[in-house]
Amino acid sequence: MTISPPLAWTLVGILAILFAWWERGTAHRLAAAALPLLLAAMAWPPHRSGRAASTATLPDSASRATVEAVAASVIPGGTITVTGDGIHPDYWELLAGRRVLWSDPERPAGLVALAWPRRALVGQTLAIRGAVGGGDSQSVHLVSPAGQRDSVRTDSAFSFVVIPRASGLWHWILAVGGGLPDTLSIDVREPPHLVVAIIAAQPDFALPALARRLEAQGASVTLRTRLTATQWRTERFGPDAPDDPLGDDALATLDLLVLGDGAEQLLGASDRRRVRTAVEEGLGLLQLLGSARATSDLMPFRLRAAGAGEERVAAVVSGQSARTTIPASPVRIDDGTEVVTDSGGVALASVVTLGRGRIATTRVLAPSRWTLAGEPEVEARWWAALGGATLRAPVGRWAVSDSALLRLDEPVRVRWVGDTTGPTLLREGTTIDTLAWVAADSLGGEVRLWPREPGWLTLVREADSLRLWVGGVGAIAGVERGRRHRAAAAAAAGELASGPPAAPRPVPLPRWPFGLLLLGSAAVAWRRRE
Amino acid sequence: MSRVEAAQALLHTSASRWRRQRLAAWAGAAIGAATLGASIGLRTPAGPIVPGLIGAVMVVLWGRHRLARVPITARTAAEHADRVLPTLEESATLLLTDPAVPTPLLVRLQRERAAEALLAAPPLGGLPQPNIRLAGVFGLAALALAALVTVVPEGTMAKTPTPIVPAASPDESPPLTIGTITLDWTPPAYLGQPADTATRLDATVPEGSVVRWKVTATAASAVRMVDARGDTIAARAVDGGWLVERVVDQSLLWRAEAIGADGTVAGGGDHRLIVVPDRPPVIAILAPAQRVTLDWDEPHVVVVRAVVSDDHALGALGLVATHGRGRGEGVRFRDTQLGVEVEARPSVGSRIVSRRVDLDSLGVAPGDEVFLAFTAQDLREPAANTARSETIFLALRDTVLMSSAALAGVALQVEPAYFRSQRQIILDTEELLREARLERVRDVRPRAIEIGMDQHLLRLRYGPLVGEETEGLEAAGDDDHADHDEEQREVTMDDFIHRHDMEENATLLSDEVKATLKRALASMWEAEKLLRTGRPQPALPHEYAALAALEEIRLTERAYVQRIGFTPPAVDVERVRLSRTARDLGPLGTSRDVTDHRIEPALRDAIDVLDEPASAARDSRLEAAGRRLATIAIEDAAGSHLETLGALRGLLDGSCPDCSAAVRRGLVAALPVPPPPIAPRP
Repeated sequence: MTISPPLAWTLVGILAILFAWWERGTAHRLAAAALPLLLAAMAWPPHRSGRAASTATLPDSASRATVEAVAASVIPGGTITVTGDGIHPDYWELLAGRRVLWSDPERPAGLVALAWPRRALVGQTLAIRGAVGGGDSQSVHLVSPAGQRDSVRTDSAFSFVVIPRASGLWHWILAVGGGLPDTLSIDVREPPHLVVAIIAAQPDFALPALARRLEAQGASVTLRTRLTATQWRTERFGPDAPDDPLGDDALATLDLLVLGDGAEQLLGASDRRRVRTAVEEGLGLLQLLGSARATSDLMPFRLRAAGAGEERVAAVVSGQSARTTIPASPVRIDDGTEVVTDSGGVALASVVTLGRGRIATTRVLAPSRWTLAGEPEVEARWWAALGGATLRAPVGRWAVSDSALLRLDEPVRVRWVGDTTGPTLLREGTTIDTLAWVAADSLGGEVRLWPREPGWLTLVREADSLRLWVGGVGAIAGVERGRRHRAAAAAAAGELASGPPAAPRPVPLPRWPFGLLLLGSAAVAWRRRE
Repeated sequence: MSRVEAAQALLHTSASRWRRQRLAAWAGAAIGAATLGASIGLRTPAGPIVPGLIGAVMVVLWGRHRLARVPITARTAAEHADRVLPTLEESATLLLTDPAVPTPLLVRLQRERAAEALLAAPPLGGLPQPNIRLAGVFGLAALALAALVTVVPEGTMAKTPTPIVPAASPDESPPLTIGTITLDWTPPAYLGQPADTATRLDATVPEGSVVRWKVTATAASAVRMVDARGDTIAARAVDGGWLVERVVDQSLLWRAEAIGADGTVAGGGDHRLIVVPDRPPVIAILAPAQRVTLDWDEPHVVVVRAVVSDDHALGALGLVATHGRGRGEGVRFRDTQLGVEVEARPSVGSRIVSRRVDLDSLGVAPGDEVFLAFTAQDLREPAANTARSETIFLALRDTVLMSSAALAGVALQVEPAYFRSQRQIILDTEELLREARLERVRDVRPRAIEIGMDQHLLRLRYGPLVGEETEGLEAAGDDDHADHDEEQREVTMDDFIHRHDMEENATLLSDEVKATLKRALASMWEAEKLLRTGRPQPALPHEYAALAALEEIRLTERAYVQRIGFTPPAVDVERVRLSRTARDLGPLGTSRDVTDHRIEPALRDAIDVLDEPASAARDSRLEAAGRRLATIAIEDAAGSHLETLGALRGLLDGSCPDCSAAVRRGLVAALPVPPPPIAPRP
């Protein structure tokens, strides 16, 4: 039978108080002695009775409680032998201060690592990455929701590129060799509704093409084109496109304002001020650049003339190089973060942050040349890259790690980026719970999920919801084993010691003062009794 | 044998007899169940054996379960005797103990008394066990029911579920089925091809063919042909089958359906009928080069040759000569139809044609241009396909404009926006002055400044072409300026022509062009200065001077680019140009109709409703998706869309309620890869 020190000391304290009550003359002294004992006993950290050992063994895949108990049973500097593939990576911090011995067992075979995004937009290019272990070359098969099969043979890392074609909750099936297939689930949604305004200083082809492209994905677009000194043509694409896109109300709702070449000069001073203010409050501004210009409130880029006349550039968009060279303005953008470069690394589009918004500029005025040259996908990627770098950021959104293991009884943390006021609901099956933040800062907060049943669960906040697929107990078992194995190898190699210090453990109060108090009280009582 | 042993034997005998009775009762029940099953099976395609066996096995398993749960032993008999014979004094079970085993005296005495009473009692009757009665009753009932099923005529029985394909039985009417389908067609007469018969039901036929489907069907009162667009053609009965005849002008997905007398429909599978369109002729020019410039003293004769080909046969061939005369916007064009000679016939559908064009016969003069293009038709009916070749440009040097001759020689499409902008500035200025004269405008200054800004922008666009330093450029240090000087711009035509991405079209500007451009820029600068200081009236002459300089360049480049197969309407210069009004601009504010611009909306909508319970709305969306999928199936023979269509049909008519997964897979597979979305970065 084991008895914990808190219980023992509490019993001692109670007995002392009873004794003092029986011996009335010394009751106050004994009570004074017993009370600190009682408090000390309550403050004492829990551990197993008996003397602390210098060595202990941790079983494979030990639970958190087991790890805590074993760690507490070993004196600081003692040795803990970890067996099997080790313990959950988060539990290694509990072993801080102890030497860890781990003999690398047979390396896990099959799927040992896997990462994929849990949410995506229709048309987005996604990567499913992973690794197989065991040293032997194995076939990895991926079956899409359309039943199309892709495969690769590898003895280490692999990667598949997938593009969701329709919104919904879709499953990809991944199988390694002859092993059991794993389900990779992705919540695919249509692109968010955007409100965009485009101001063109003269009629051209590229900006209406951009408007139609946005309209095709459901955006509301207002295109204003200056025809003469006094005449403008306004075209509205999609539902509820603003009539006056530069009005105060409209600017507050716009996600993106595109100024064609020379359009900024057509804006009045008050318009420019209001646009600047709107950008500082989150609006995205994209300026097309036909020639070198001085910096301004809406063009905070240092521009440098380069060469004579237009030059032809070979753009590298989203990591892929275009086959066709297209004309670009002969200026260099010296400031900002590069969004797209040419094959020589020179910025074709850059972006700077201004307040909560972003301003981007580009030297390429006619990306539709790619489409004319038979590369429409490059133009699509071009606008996606520029839009992604510039658009107004969403009010709030959930973010979950691509490598998160979502399965039954496996805790996982999900981060919320945005305002943390208001409730966070968890819908799991038919039950709805309210979650509390386990961490929060000025940028957002984190919740901890502990799935209770397999299937889809939904995290709901007013600005965003996140649907996640929870696998059964044995889901993605190889990955879980591989993760423990890697963490154990890192810990055994001493990497743990170089990491952040472990959380401070409660320091027990010393025992001897209370023992002396007890003995002294007992002696006084005995003497008074005689 | 003692009395006790005799009584024990009596109990064992009774138990044995009851076991036999129970076994017989369950055997009877099994026979009854087998008979009932067989009699029902006779009325179904399954036949009597399997249902009969199933009935018997079920009863045997049931009986075995019951027998194992309630065994019949001598103890059962003793307990029964205790219940029915009071004289035994509840001591019959004592008889089951072994007499050789020593027992107390009282027990022995009582056992003796019980044995005596049992032997003296009447024989034990039947065991009142419910199992036996139950089995008996079940067996009798099953037999009676089997007799009823056998005796009563089929028509009076309750209707059993109708099988999809009725069992073939010689004494029943044949099932409604589609038999064989034969597909043949007769191509249109102008092709001169013989009629043909398909070896497979997925066939390829020429456009305009008369296609005949001959269908045999059993038990059908009508047959029809349904295509993917929902068009239905009723077949007419011919000897031994049904015939559908149709002229096809586009590919289609079809299936045959037989309709029974009771309205039931039996359908065949989906098949593709690919229609190969008759394509227009193709003309490739062999000689001369696309652009030819002739001096006036050279012979005014050009030989043009081309190869013309068609996928079937060629019809009329010809040459169109367009004579352009005049300068600037006063150019006039006149078309002349010329014949061609056939030089050779390399193959059935191709000709090499030529024509010696005497330019003098067209009435050319110095500075004129002639544009030649071959035309060809095929024999397609009812309307022939027409093709037109690329244009050959013939230019006769203008002996008068020698000063700008160096600028000639290249006929290019002038980028209109730049020049029109200068013209528009003039129009805007004149409009402003006119309104000022009419006192419609109190203060001309703001609008003059706006026009000046336009002039500024235009000048900025031309400035770099002649090496002007760009204005508004942030000073990037002296080194940068030095670099700029070194990089003195090399003026190219790229900057004000539309190059169509062809490097070979880019030509260096001559010094004369540069000088003229600089003159234009100087005028623009003056105009801009006056406009931006609110003086439109004195700016106007400079604007005109700039326009004249630009026109001077443009006049040397006559723009005449004609697209194949497209004849542009004549330009009414008086109406369009220099009218000072913008009345034909169209509405200045437009709202486009909100339409569904999603890619493949029908397929996407169907995916969204696949998991919903069946309803009219859901079925409507699925049918729309089916129609769209059928079109895709025609175009994409490699996909598995026909299987998806079959599953979709099964889902709609209820014959395959579990097909939604297959349909979902097929619909997603039919969706094209969407373009990357423009969305905030995650």
